[in-house]
Amino acid sequence: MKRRRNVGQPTLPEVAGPNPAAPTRYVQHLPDLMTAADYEDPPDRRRLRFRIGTSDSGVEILGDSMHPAALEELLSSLEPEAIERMLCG
Amino acid sequence: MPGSGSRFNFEALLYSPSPGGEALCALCPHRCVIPSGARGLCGVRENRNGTLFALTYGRPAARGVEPIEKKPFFHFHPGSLAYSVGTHGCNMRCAFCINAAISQTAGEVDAGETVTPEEIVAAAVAAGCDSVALTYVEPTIFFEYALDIAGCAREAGLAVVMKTNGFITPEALALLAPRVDAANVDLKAFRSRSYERMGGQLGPVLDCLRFLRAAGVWIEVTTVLIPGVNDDAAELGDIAGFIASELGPDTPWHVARFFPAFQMLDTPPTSGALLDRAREIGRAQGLRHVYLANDLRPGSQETCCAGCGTLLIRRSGGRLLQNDLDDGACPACGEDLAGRGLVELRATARMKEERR
Repeated sequence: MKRRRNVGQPTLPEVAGPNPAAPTRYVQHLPDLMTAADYEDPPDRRRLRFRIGTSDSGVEILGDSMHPAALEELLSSLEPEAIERMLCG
Repeated sequence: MPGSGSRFNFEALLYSPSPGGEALCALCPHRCVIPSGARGLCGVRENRNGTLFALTYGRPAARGVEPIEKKPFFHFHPGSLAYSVGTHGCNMRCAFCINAAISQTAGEVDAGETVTPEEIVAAAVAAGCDSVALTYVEPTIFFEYALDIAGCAREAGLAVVMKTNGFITPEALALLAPRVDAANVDLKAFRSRSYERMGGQLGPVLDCLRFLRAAGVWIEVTTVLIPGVNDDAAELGDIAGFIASELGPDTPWHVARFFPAFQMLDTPPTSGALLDRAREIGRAQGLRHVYLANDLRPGSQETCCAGCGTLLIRRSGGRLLQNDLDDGACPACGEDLAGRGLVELRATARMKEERR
């Protein structure tokens, strides 16, 4: 990605871009796998829930977690054709 | 003339050229001074030989049909569908941004499809949406596109809502607010230092909220509650107190659970206890409707009558499950629920029922 140097008067905190991953498709809905009880996990627990199934186009892995970055890293390591995710807002 | 040009090479609004060839952008409080060949801090407004171009025009990064509860709006046309659209880029740099994949990737603004405002609105109408939502990233950075989408939506009889960080100048807001029916505004903190770390400023956000209130726009407020960042009881009290005193006690406050994301991967998710405490603080400040987002526990997203406590609307996971409002009021005591589109939706539902 080509970056340009910003030259406006104020400055913004320096941030790195998101980690590159498999091609992402933004979808409007994905089912919840986490339960209400999962939300009370201790802070050091990183619970990831999965549902694995097959469809006409192959294997489909649905994941849900309070740690979306960990989830995407794991799914990306499987070299999927694409990752679907929901946006906030 | 600013605001003209070919559709996808769109000259920006709200800037003025300087004698030195710089573009003085007045869209957000950064008020960037942009030399020729450079872009503003948002990364999506580019000065080409003294003319400022809005690179986001007609370039959605994501769009689609979603429940309006997901924005979240809980007191505006409950149970309806919103056609949501957002581009790449943002004018803030929140380290916890859950949408960083598009908000912090202004360099990818040219990628993807090109879609006109008319096509956005046509898709919204075809999908049976009641509104168009300017969302996912800060709508200010796709201001010209947002303005035209909003204009087309109004002509088509759709409502216009936006999810915003409120970091916008009064002159931009003066153009946008008349085309917006409802805004969910992030009030991310109540300390100037916290806002500076996010690349914003507290004062303009508070001014934006006051402006929207005075303009008659329906307002809901969201605060992502982050352990160790904005979870101090005094700060939460200040946020809730501002909402209650300046926006009104019927203004819904959504306190959202933080999930580790983007550059805050080592901060734990917000606990239920912390969310509960924030809700109590909000209620103690006089707020009648405090909701807990990203929380599946029972009661976290229910609307109860402020008069008698009767359960009026039940939701879960950003979706409406049950609406017991009677013409916008509590069926038990008759007290009106604050909001917009509460009666009309019932009327629409009845009309649909009669058609069957």
